[in-house]
Amino acid sequence: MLKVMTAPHSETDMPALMGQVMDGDRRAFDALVRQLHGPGITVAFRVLGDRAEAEDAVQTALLKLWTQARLFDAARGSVQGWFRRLLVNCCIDRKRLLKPVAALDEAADVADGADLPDALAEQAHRAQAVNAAVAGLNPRQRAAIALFYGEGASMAEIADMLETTPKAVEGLLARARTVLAGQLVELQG
Amino acid sequence: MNKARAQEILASCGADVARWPADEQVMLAGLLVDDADLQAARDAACAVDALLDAWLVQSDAAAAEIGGAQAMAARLAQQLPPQVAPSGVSSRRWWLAGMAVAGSMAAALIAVVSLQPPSIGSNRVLADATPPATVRQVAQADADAFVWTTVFTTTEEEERLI
Repeated sequence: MLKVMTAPHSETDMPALMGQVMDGDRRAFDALVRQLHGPGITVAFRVLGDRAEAEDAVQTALLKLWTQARLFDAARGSVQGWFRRLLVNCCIDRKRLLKPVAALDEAADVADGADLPDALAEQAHRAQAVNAAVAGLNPRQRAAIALFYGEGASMAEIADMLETTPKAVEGLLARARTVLAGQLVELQG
Repeated sequence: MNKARAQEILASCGADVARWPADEQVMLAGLLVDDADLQAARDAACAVDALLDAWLVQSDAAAAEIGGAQAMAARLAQQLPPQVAPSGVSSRRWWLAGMAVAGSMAAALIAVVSLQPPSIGSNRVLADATPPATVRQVAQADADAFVWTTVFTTTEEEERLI
């Protein structure tokens, strides 16, 4: 009870907020945006690897949450789960339109460590190389990796979000890891 | 659980036991103890896991710097479009209505075909079996009424849909 009074829009209130949003309540939507924005940015950045694109994807998904609010069915899952599904699909659509941020063989050029101490330069180089390796994955593979490793989502949850089967998600993850293993060999070579 | 399944899990989920399917963790861990191939697969998976861990740390740090929930809320508040109203008739209902109409048309067609006069070749049989004129008129009226009710009377399901 105290929690409700001190934090009127806590995460436990999300179903109630969503109910108000379904009735067209703009203030409730505002409160929902503040709660979903942070986690949404994290997921979107993992999938897209680009700050501006991640912000655009979150904004698009939030707008969809508003316009399609009346289609939300609490019996089928949580508000967060529904939003994450909208967001991941926005990210995949955007990712298909984007080119990889940097190819692995360009990573050394991107990471300019000339003015940095050796350890930091090495770290920066490795960071760029890791990003380039993940950027080489296709959108669905990257989304699966982001959800499985980043969000701790189960195969079934990912399958639901990507509208496929758990077995297909296993395949996506395995192929993504094969690509990454190949990149890793190049990185170490 | 067999070796092939164990390799599938290592290939998709990596080397961390916590990420393996809950109902297969114990059996996979058991298989790993004595199988050199699986141990090699696990070691290879460890290297990819390390790469992914590094990527997660970096991407989360970068995402944490983005912030801006308040600004986005304000931006969205200025451009909120109207909400989409849920459709009154679901696609399933449309499908049912379509099936009902198609069923009625098929029934009408069958009724019309079954009321067609017999072919010329059977005129003699027809003449022998032809009832008096008043009976024919009554029968024709019944047939017309049947066609009318078949074609133009809605079924119970159609009534519900309407």
